[in-house]
Amino acid sequence: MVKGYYPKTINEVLEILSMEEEHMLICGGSDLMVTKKFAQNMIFINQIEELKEIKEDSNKIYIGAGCVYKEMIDNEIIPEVLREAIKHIASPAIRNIASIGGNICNASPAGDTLPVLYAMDAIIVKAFINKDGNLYITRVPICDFILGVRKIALEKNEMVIAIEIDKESYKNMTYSYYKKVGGRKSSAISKLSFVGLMKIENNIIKDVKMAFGAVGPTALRSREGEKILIGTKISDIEEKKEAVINFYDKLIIPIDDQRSTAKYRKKACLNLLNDFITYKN
Amino acid sequence: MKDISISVKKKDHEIKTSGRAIYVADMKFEGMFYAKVIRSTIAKGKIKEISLPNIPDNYYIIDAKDIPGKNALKIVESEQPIFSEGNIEYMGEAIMMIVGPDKRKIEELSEKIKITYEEEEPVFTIEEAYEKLVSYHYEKGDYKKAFQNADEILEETFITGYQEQAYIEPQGVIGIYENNKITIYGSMQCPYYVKEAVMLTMGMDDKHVQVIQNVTGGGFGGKEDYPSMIGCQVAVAAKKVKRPVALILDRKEDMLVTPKRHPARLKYRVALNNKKEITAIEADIRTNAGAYLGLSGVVLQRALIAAIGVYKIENLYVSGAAMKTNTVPNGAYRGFGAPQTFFAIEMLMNHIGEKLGLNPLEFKKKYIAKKGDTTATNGKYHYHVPLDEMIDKAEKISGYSKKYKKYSKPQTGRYRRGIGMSLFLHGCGFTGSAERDYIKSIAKLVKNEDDTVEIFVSNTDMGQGLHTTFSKIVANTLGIPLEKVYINNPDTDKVPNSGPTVASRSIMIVGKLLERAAKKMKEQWKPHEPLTIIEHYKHIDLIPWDIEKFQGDAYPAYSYGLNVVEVEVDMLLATTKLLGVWGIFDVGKAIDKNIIMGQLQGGMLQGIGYASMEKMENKNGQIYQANMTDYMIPTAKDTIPFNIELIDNPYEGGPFGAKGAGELPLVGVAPAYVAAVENAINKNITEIPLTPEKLMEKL
Ligand SMILES: Cc1cc2nc3c(=O)[nH]c(=O)nc-3n(C[C@H](O)[C@H](O)[C@H](O)COP(=O)(O)OP(=O)(O)OC[C@H]3O[C@@H](n4cnc5c(N)ncnc54)[C@H](O)[C@@H]3O)c2cc1C
Repeated sequence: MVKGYYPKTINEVLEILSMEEEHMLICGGSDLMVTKKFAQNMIFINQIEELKEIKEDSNKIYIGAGCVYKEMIDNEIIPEVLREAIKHIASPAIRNIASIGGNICNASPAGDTLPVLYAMDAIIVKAFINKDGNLYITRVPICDFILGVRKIALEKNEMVIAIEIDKESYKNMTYSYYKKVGGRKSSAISKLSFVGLMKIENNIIKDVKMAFGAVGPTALRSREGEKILIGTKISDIEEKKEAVINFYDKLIIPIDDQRSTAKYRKKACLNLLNDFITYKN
Repeated sequence: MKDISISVKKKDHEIKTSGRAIYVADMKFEGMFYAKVIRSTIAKGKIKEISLPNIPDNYYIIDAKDIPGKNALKIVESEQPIFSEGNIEYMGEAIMMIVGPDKRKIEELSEKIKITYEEEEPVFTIEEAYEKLVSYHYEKGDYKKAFQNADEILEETFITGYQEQAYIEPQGVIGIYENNKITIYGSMQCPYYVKEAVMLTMGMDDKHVQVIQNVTGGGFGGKEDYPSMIGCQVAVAAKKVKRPVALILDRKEDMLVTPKRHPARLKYRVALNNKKEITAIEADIRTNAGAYLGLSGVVLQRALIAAIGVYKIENLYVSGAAMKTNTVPNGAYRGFGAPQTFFAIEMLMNHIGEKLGLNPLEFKKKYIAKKGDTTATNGKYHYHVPLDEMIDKAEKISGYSKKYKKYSKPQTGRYRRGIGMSLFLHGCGFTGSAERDYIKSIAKLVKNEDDTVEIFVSNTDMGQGLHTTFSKIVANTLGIPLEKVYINNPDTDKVPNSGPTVASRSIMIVGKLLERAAKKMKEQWKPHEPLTIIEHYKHIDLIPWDIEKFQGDAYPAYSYGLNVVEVEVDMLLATTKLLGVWGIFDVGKAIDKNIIMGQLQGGMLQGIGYASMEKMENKNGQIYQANMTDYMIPTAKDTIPFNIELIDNPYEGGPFGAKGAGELPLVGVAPAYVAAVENAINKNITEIPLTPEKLMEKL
């Protein structure tokens, strides 16, 4: 028989997690119910108020891991481009139960929040209780948290409690760009997605952040690629464009699968990239 | 009397909206066992050895040896085994079944069954296939001479893909054996098909097999033949274990093993004279039948009959074959061979017109058949063909020609627009003389003492509204309130065989029987006296159909349709957005306006899916998109409100003038959609589904 726990606080979750038996966290269940693979002990965390907090201070925002998409779309603290990405996830019913923590921990190549979180250098906040009963909180950048397809840097006794995003990473941007391409306009897993954030000052590109989704084991972001653009005068973009596109042409190595083809994914990614960098011309 | 088209509340409204409808998966019988089919994991070969785990008490293996009658599935012919006797023709073919009380235990046992095979070389595609399961050909006029004298000969090949019915309720049946009698409950379109199949497999007579249809959550053709297969499987099991046995497929299994729309390859050659007029057409249509004949022969007939669409061409040579491949057998899906052919002929006509520098519609107009013209198979258009009025109407509401001209000018920028139109028809009822020779429909009306009237027919309501429309026909003819007329899901112990619920035949053929029965009942009506009227099919003899020669009137009447689709193409992503979708239809007379609109909108949306996103591939013998995540059907967000108009063109052979409407709306959407995309990007396209992946290659 499967045993279910309904803890009310993060602490209670961590206590159960620190026990010997095999456990599995379930939040909205919108990934787990599909896989139908459950552990002997299931810990239901979607009723924990502490995990549903969305707050900000002057430097960063804090999103509880249990926040569901609907709550995030409606909350102005959440960066516009992240909300835009979330609006294209699944369908209204799923958005009412599916959590951002679940999306990150599921670590699917097609997880739609991931490219945006990569572009913003989001920090994953983890917690655990060690043998002597003390609570520990650790922070890792998302790119170090996600190790590969459905592989994350999370110990058996740990859980993700929140995501933090530095406001610097999105606030003073000149424009942001997001596009998801799915097989249809709703309830579709991404064939590919692209997010771009651009900061232009005095006609010079001061900062740029770009990430692609569903074209590799996880979201794809390259600082090297971004560097090609940083410092470029807007009037010189046309000249730089080719170098950038060539760079990503080599970097993006998508696959053929039941949803799309490598060829299409590559072409659409490069077209979006091109559109993004020449957007304000 | 009130116009019959005025909509009423559907007869099944209450039970369905309240959630009280009982589907087969909701049924539980005392001591019921569950069944799981063990299927081949190779596409072609022989079973070498089967090693079974220890089968605990109360669990049973059912296989070919348990079949009391014939190990053959009765569809058109009976060539497909119920359980393999060692030979494997496709991946997923049934080898045996485990039945028992606990589903999880069954799963566990099934994982321990080891089957080894001697594999043989399979074929998967029309290109690789070498065996014709069935083939036909016909000719008209002197096509050879026309090609010899041609000024120019054009050739084009069209490819169409699979399409999955994606009914909301997966297939399922329950079999019960009691007092030497088999009873089958299930989700199905054709109770008598299931009954006849079970009789053959069980070696039982008419009196000892009973089939009862449950509330059915959609069929679209997919529940025409396959319920017979699972019906036979549970019948064999129920007799052996002497308990009710339920076999309910889950979505994945359903998508892997049940029949789909045939992929097709259609090769056309066209002869033009020196005035650039079409003098002859040659068409070769090949469908991928899968491993067994099943319905592929009759599907192919419809595909061939439609070879020249709504046009009149004097010289023809049309041939076709259903090719055997080692893939899941294909079958019926709304349109039954016609959507493939209409895609080809409509695109072909567009391409020739455009090559000659004309608006395709202007080019097509010269060839549209009229009343009195002969059909492709030397039958006759006996009744008015309303396509001219339909075109006028379409021009008015969609602005087709004006927009076509505008969008044909060179376009620039990321978003480009296009518009396309298609003209089509659909033969109502069974092909040829099958209604007279095989189906021989019988309908029964019973008046009770309280002056309520019950309808007894074998046709099923699977969501399309048949209970409501049949009841309306009877109530309106009798002149009594609709509440006084009722109909239950068919039980073959109670209803006569009025035929299957397929081929856009129910309203026109069976509805007519009911109208006639009701007229007789009205004449003999005496209050508070019971009365039974039985009505038999009467054939309207036109030009007799000869299947050997493939000549004559293929259908008693045709329904007509016209679609216009306007799209915007995103050149960066090769995706499209619908800007407008128009449909003009002649279904004779709508028996219920809302129900007809539901049929038309739903069918058209399935057509949009077929044209654009419903991609299914067979990889090494296995369906690659076998769940609703990977197989994309349009959602509400992918569509826009359709503009639909009806043309009144009553048909004397149908009740209140009604003709077939079920399949028609799916038949012509794909060519209109693809023509719109072509218009936007100024390139020819010959293949569906036109996914962004395919379209990107053109940009
Ligand atoms: C119909 C449908 C459509 C969908 N469409 C999309 C789409 O368009 N884009 C997209 O990206 N996704 C989509 N998904 C997937 C899914 O909705 C998302 O990944 C969702 O965000 C998962 O959240 P959840 O709360 O439901 O996760 P759950 O299923 O509860 O959990 C997912 C995984 O994360 C783990 N987990 C959950 N919370 C924590 C935590 N706090 N700490 C550690 N581990 C945790 C669980 O143990 C599990 O392994 C779709 C799903 C469905 C069913």
